[in-house]
Amino acid sequence: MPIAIFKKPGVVLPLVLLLIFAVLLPTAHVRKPHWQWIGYVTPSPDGRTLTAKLMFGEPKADGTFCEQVTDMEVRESASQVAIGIQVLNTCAPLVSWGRTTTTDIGYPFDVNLHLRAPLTGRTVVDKETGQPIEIAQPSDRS
Amino acid sequence: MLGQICNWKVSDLGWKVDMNDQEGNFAGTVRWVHRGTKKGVCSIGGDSGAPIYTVRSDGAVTAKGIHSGSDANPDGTERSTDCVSYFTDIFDVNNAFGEKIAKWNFS
Repeated sequence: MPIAIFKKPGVVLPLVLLLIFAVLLPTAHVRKPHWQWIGYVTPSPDGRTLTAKLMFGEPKADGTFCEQVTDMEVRESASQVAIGIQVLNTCAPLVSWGRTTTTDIGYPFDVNLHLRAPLTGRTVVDKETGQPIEIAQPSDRS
Repeated sequence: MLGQICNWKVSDLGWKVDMNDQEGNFAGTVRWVHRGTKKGVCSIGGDSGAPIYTVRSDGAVTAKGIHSGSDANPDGTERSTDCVSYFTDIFDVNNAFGEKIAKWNFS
C-alpha cells in the first residue's frame, strides 16, 4: 500500500522537506545570465571595434570580478548597430530567496565588440531595450 | 545608469542598514540612511554617489543627499520591478565633504 511507505522511519522528514522545496521553488531566484546595462561605447580609430564600458560589482579578494561575460551580440544595419553583452554573476548562489542589500559602487570593465563595417555615423542601441547608447570619442574619457 | 530616476517615495528615515557583498557576505553597516521605494527602473551598480534631489514647484532644486545602495536579487538580475534605494542625508554629506558638495553647476 502507498500509505505504508510513510510508516517507514526516515521517510517522512525527507518527503516533507522535498514538498516544502517544491512549493517554494517557483518563488526562488535561480542564478542565470542577464544582459548587462552598457554605460557607453568608444569606437576604435578605424571604427571597426567598439569598446563597451560596463559597471561590475566590487572585485573579489583575488582581484577578479564575480561577473563573467557569457555571450555577446552585435546586429548591424545601415542605420544602427544593436549590441548586447550577457553577464553571469558567478558569486551568486545557485538558488536563493528574498533580496540582498548592496552598495551601488561600480567598477568599470571594458568589453570589445567587433563590427563587420566601420561605425561611421550609425547609432548604437541596446539590443534588449532599444535605447540609444552614448558614443564617446577616445579623447572624451580618460 | 544615465539620466534621472524619478518618483521615489521616501518612507523611512534614519535607518541602519547592513550591506552585503556579491557573495552575500556581510560587508559593512551604513547608519542614518533614508529608504525610498518605487516601481520601474531601479538604480544599478555605478550609481553610488549620484545626487538625490527634489524639484520644487518654483523650479528650484533642493539637494537631499547622495545615493548609497539598493536592494536587489542576490544574482543582481531583475532589478527593474520593485526598487529600494538607500541614500545618505545631505546633512551627513556636508559634514563629510564640506558645504561645497551641495552646489549645483548650471553652466
